[in-house]
Amino acid sequence: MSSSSLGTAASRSLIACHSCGKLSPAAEKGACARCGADRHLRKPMSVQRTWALVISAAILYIPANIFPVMTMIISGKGEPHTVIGGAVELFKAGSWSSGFLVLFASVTVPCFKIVGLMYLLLSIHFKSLWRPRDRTVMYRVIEIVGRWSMIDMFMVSILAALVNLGALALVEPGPGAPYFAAVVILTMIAAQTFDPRLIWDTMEKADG
Amino acid sequence: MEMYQRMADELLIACHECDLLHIKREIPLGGSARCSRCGSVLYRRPADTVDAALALTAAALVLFLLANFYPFIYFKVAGRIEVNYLITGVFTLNDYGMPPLAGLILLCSILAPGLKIALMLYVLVPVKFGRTVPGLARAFRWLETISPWGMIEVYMMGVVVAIVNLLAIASIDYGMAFYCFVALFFVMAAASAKLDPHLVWERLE
Repeated sequence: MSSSSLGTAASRSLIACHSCGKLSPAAEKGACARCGADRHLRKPMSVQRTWALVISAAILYIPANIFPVMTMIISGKGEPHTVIGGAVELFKAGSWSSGFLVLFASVTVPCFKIVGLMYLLLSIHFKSLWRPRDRTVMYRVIEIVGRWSMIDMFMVSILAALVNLGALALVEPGPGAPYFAAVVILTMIAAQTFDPRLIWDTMEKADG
Repeated sequence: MEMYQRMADELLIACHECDLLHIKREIPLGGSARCSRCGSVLYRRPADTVDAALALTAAALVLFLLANFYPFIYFKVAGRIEVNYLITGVFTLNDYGMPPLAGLILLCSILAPGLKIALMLYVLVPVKFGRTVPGLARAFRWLETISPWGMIEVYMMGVVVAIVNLLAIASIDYGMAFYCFVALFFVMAAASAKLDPHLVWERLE
């Protein structure tokens, strides 16, 4: 791994604006001269905020999966479905692709985000020097893929709106839905409060 | 110190993911520069920039309006036809006593995409004609903040899964708004690809 001879912005006492990227001396006071955003060397309280959000998300993920996200009643028959139950129904109906999509978006993605962010936070805490580039890629994937967890919530909102025929056919959103939505919001904000530069700051110190 | 600052302004760029400094270099049209250490994109040089982005955003505005005011999906069951609009789900969830969830759906499917189009026009029109309007920099900054919450493509997949759920009990017809919504996704993605934020920031300075 070839480090550029210039070093990091921080090592030159420069702040790169979080918002527009403009470099300015760390000694300077006030907001970014170009875009007006607050300037920080690193995202403020990044580790603490991300931990708080990720732990909250992990806790809320439990009721999100225990409680049903919707109840589908057709001609008087029907029962509540959890997120995973909904995917199982899709498999039973033979829609494998949709079943896998729901499982991926509602189980794989949130778990990967929560466990992945916890791993990144721990690796920073224990000053890990292991594969920083791969850890940065992992962060990038977490940031990009997170939004896809919303599929199930959109599906519930569309079904509830469409199937609204009283006794004939009805889809009711269940108590699990708000919990699930909260998990998506919290993990998305957690990905934003995490600062991947912290991964590399450990490397800098190790280099001397 | 002063020398560093001038160098910093004109010659250097810090990687936004690992903070490593790089000297800015001319890159070929359509290319992008990546960080030598962590591999994230430093800056791009799209083949055509502001003009194309502006044209696509104007198209997006038209599609967005059509997607909101025309019927989204027709739901046919037992001889009845129900007309649904993009916003219907928001009202339904609110009626079921879930206003926060309804608000989130509203934000992700309507507010954020709409605000994104409005802010892009607010920034790109003055940039194109070399004018300044109040709050230009702030508008562009908000654009970055609001972007992750616009989830048109995820919503589309939600529609697909919802329809698969209903195949057994009813038939579905897509409305004009549905096709506009699909087109909106591609147009917005193209507009974003045509625009490198760094270029706009440099012009705003």
